[in-house]
Parts: sequence; structure tokens; C-alpha cells
Amino acid sequence: MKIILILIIFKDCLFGFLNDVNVGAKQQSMGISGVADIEDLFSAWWNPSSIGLNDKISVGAFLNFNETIPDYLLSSFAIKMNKPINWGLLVVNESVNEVISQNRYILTIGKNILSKFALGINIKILHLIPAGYQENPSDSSLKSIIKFQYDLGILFKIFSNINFGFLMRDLIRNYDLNKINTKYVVGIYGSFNIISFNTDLYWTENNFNISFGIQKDITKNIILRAGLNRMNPSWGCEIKFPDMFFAKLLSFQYSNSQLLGSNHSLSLQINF
Amino acid sequence: MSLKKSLMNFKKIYLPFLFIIILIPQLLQSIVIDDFDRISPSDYYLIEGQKSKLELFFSTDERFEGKGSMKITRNIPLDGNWAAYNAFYHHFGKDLLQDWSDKEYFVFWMKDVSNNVDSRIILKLNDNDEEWQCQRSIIKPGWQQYVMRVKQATGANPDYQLNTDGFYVPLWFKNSPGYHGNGILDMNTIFGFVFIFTGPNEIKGDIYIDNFKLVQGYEYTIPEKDSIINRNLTELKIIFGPRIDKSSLIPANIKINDVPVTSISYDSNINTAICQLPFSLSDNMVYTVSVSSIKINSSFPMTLDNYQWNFLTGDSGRIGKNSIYRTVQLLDGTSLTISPGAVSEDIVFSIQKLENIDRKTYNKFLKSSGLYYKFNPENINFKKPCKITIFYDETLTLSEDKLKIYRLGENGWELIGGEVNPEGNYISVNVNQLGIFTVMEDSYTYVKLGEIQKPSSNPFTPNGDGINDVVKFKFTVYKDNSSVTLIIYNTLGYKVKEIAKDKKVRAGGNIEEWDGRDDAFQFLPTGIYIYELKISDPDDINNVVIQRGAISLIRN
Repeated sequence: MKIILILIIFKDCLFGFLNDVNVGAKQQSMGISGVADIEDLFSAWWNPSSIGLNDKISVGAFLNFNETIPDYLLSSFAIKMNKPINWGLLVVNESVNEVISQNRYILTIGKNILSKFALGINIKILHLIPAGYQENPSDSSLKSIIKFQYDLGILFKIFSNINFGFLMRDLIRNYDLNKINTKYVVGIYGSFNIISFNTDLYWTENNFNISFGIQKDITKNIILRAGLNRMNPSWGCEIKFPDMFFAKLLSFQYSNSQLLGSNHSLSLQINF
Repeated sequence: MSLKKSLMNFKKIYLPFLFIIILIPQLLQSIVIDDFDRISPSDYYLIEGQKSKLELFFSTDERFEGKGSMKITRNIPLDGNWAAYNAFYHHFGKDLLQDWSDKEYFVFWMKDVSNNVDSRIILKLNDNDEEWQCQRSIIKPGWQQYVMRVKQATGANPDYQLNTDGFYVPLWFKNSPGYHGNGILDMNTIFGFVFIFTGPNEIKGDIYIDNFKLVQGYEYTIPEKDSIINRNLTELKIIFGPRIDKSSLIPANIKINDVPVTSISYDSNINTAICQLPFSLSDNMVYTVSVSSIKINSSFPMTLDNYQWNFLTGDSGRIGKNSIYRTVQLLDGTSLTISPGAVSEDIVFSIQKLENIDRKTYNKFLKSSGLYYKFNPENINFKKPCKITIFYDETLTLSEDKLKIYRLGENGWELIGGEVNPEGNYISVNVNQLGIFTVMEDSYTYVKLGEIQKPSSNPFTPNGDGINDVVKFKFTVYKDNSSVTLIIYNTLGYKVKEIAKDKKVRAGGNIEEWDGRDDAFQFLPTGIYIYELKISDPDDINNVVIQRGAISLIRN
């Protein structure tokens, strides 16, 4: 809490700005929604408070690539622990071939306060490694750069099967000449037998958007997902193997969307 | 204030201006040469009574698709010599109707003997209601080269560009012997100069402004000859200039290898004698052309005697900026035609028929004609497109309407295009670069629409320091009115900026830029963004070129 308060106090005088990244095959297959979802390892990125309501120990990896943008690749590794408090670490690498490589180190801390309510924070560090500095050595801004940013989120279990989430993403707002918008997101997650859904509404000063996703458990091991975001459909599936000899859950997830061509994401998650 | 005081003030303030106004007409005594639209090699513009200011005014209704004019003024008396040249020949083209685009300066040579007197040359060009002008002080004695960059003075269209890459007295003229050694010239005895206009294509015409007399001993020089000779050449062209005495143009006076040409006709438009050859030319032979007893009409009539030069025949040859013959041709008809202005220096071109080509590079849709030609020099880049023509065997089982010319690039055969002439069994295409070419049938019927380069600067840092502040998207479009759409997305796939939407562009190189702001002009944060650049064929909606890629924006 002290860290949160300090960051809020100094939020207008420090740090730089990061853009959004797209992590998590489940969230992508469900139309890029998941602010109120707590079941997935990568939910922490979408709402840090989700980690406060999920005590599982997990590790996972994620890969995203686009067939028509071959020079772009996004990969990440995540770990989630529950001691001494619930926390997670997400390392994301985005690279544009021969242009830049940028790593994000996101520390997530979440706290369950009243068993149905959780607070969380993402402390984000961006490390830019431009490859073009050799091409433009006169531009010192192309040297290796480190930036900071943070998100705050809350999550509330309205009922046992319905969650409400709220996220303030990128709270540091002032930039030299202009301000970059904080993104506010509210989301609802619901689960009814074998069908569950996510819906998110986000807005900034300039625009807003609604995303929606639904998933259905086909069998004990297979889940199908579909989503819609700005009229762009997406779909995905998950194959999971519970009670493995080395883990409580082994899960493979795949998602596909047609944003900017055929976009593929793969996730691997292991719960211990 | 009393009336008297007011009048005194009036005199004090305004009289000097009145004085100037009164004097100006006297200072601006000038001679105007007009109707420049009639320019032709035989037009001479006389300047008489040059004892005061010289003002030459040329105009044409044709030059810029509007009214064009050129004005040269001089603010000191011309009782010394000024631009006195012994010019009376050398015409390179037909007229001044040309595209003078992408040029913005004039170069000319001038001699001034008014030592350290600020003599100013003002050049004005009018295009409808626009006026372009430049001026230079001429304060150095002796021959000087002056480059005048033209700026728009008035007018409503700031995008209009004045175009010319030359308004100059060329080196051969500067070094011509007539004036050298004459010292100070008397404007009433010898006066004349020539401006030769050149455009991107070729020297198109020259402007004669003269009241000149030739000095004794002046040597008439036929402009530099061309050594490149078309293999199928049946006639020989010789530029003699406008003052040739046509009665002296008889076959006996022009010989090739000591054999008189069979007949001579004279094209006054290009000041060129066209001589029919007495025999067929062979390959790789040196032929000698000799000229004698050709008379030149002038104040000092002269005769050209024992004037001769050699040229070489073959499937290679030197083509220069001023060459008359511009085609290299093989026996099977395959040829390379160098466009006027495509080269700025003399270059030896050749065509070589190849037998073996690495066929691994074939596209599966391509069917070979078996014809491969290497056009040399490979690494040359033309300033203007040049035409290559390849003849094909109509007995081949190829669909003539699907034949295209391909160039062997780093990644295999690249479609160049081409127009098929089924009657003549040949296909022609304009190229900007030489290399290895072939004719193939393509089962796909498409036309290369454009090429998109990778963005630069990437990453870019829009912080206003003037370095890498924008990312530039460079692309080349081959068709006029092609539509271009350029959209920036974030990595979530959301559109953040629409830079161009179905924007019509002209054929040629184009650039679009992005400054890192979104559609609401808000600064976007550091991160990776995706661009999608699409070029659409105005005539075929299915013919598009799309390139997507990632760009990195850095804010600090």
C-alpha cells in the first residue's frame, strides 16, 4: 500500500509512457477482454488485482505472431506465486527485426482484502534497445532507454460466479508537450455451468470500446472460445490436462484473429 | 502646419521620388524581343542601337502550358562587350516544348568588362499570373559562369516549379575561337550571344539574339559527331546549323570512305543534312565521313573543306547527351534506345545475347521464350527511362498477349512489363536500369503497380529535435491516379492513425510521413506500431500492393 500511495503522489512528475501490449491467448480469443477474469495466468496483466483472488502457483509462456507482419514478434514468460503475498512477474519481449527490441518487466502485486475484494498494482518497466542507433548515431534518443509506468486495478466478486473489475492503465499522464490518455476499463466476468463470458468497456478521453468474449467447455479437456472486438472476430481453443503427475494443470491455448492479417497466439500454463 | 511648410515638407519627402520616377523611363530604354514562341533555328533576334541598356524579353505561349517569358535586364550601358559570342549554329532539337520539371536553375556564361560595376541580371519567367525571378550581380570581369536559381515571385500556386537544367552557353561554345583574343568588343561591330535551353530530355533548341559579325579567321566547327551507328543505318545525319548554304549540299561534297553519298536532303527544323548512304554498312568497321566545299553564309562567308571524322559500326556504341543516333541494335532486331537526356556523358552501350541462364529462378507461372539478352553497362541508372525492344519467334507456343519482359534481379526474374507488337513480333518496354532481360509468358495477367520501401527512420523519436522526428514511408507508383491508403495500428490491432485514405498520387516516387500522433492529434506513447500501406490500381480494384510492417516510436 505504501508503494501505491507513493506512486500516486508522484504520478505526475516521474516516468515515461508505454503503449499497450497484447498478452494472453485466452484474452485474445475472447475479443481482448478479461479485466474481471481471474482464472488465467495472464489475467494479472489485464487487471493486477486478479492476482489477489487467485492463490495458485503458476508458470507460463506466450507467443504472438502475425503472418503478414513477419518482422514483429511478441513473446512473454510469466510466473505467479502466493507467498508472502500474491505476486507475479511477467517478462514481455517485443521485437521488430533489425529495428528494436523492447523488454517489459511487470511486477504485479495483488491483495485480497475482504475475501471478495482485491486490489492490485502493475509496476511496469520498459527497456528499449533500438537497433537503429548505429544508423542514426546523431540521435541520442535512440540509445538504450528505460521507462516506467504503472496500473491500478480492483476486482470484486459480486456473486460467486460474477466478477466486476476496474482498471486504470498507465496512470502517469504528463508528457513533455502533451498528455497521453490513461485508459480506464471496467469489465464483468460471468460463469454459468459450462459457459462463461467476459465483457470489457474501456474508455479514454478520446474514445471508448466494448469487447466481448464467450467460452464453452466442450469436454473436460477442451474449451472453445470466441470473441468480438470492434467488429473483428476472434476465436480460440484450450486443451487442458488436469492432475498431471507433475502439476495440477497443464494447459495449451491457441487464439486466432484477423486483425491486420492472420494473427496467432499460443499460451502455455502450468499450475502447481 | 502652414501651407508653405507643408509644401516644403512635400518637396523634401517626395521630390526625390519624383526625380526617380522621371528618370526611370530614361534608364529603362530597352529593346524587347518578343514572340519567342516562334523559336526555330532560323529565327534571329536582332538587337540594334546598343548604346544603352539592354533588355531582352522573350515570351512564349507554349513553354509552361501557359504564357512564359524570360527577361534579362541590365542596368548599365552596353557600350562595352557583353556576352559577345560568335554563335550561329548548333541546334539540337526542334522546339522548346518540353517538360522542364524538377529543374530550378539556369546556368549561363557571360563576360563582362565593366570592372567592379554592379551590373545586375534579372531573369523573370511568367506563367500565367505567376512570376518567377532571380537576379545576380555581375561584378567580375572576364568570362564567368553564373547559376541563377529561380524563385517564385508572385502567384497563387506555390507548388509550381520552374524547370530547366540548362540555360547556358556550353563548353564548346565558350571555347570557340571567334571571340577569344578579341579583347573588348564593340557592340556596334560584334555582338551576339546564344542561350541554349536544355531540359531533362535533351537540348531542345537555342535562342539567337544577335547582331553579330563573324571575325576573320573564324573556324566553323561541326558539332561533335556520334560514333554510335545503327546497324541498319541507311542514312547519315550531319548537323550544319542554320546558315548553311544549301546549294553547296551536293553528294560530291559529302563522302563516306571516299564514296559520295547518293543524295542529300536538308531538314531545316533540325539544321541537319540527311545523306543517303551509297552502300550498306558492315559490323565493326570504321568509316570515315569527309566534308568539303560546304559553304556557310555569314558576314564573313566561309567554306568547310577537308573536314572529316570517323565512326564505328557494331552492336555497341557510344551514346552521349548530344548524340543523334541513340540506338544500339543486334542483328535479330533486339535494341536499346537511349532517350534524350537519359545520360549526361558519353557511354558505350552494348547488347549481348546469352545462351545459358540459371533457370532455378523461374517463377512456376512463367514460360520462357528462351531469349536472354544482357544490356551493358549493367549498373547504369538512367535519368530518363530508355526503351529496350526484344524480338520473339512467333512460332513459339506462347500467347503473345501475355508476353512480358523480365529482368534478372537479386531475387530472380522481376516483371518489368512491356507492350507487344504482334505484327512486328517484338515487345518493348521502358527501363531505368540495364541488366539481363528476357521475354516470358506469364499465366498471371497483372501489372506491377508499385514498390514500397521499408520505412525510415525506424525507430523514430518525435521530440522536436529535428532528428528522426517522423517516420517516412517511401514508395514508388507506376500508374497515375493510383490510390494510396496508409494506416497505423497499435499492436492490439486498433487503428490509431489514418495518414492517407484512397489518396490519389501521381506516378513516381512518393513519401508519406507520420509524426507519432493519433487521429485526435494526441501524442501516442512509446511502443511498437503496425503500418499498412496499400497501393490500389485505379483501373483494377483487384490489383493492389500491400505492405505491412512494424515501426517503433520512442518518446523520451
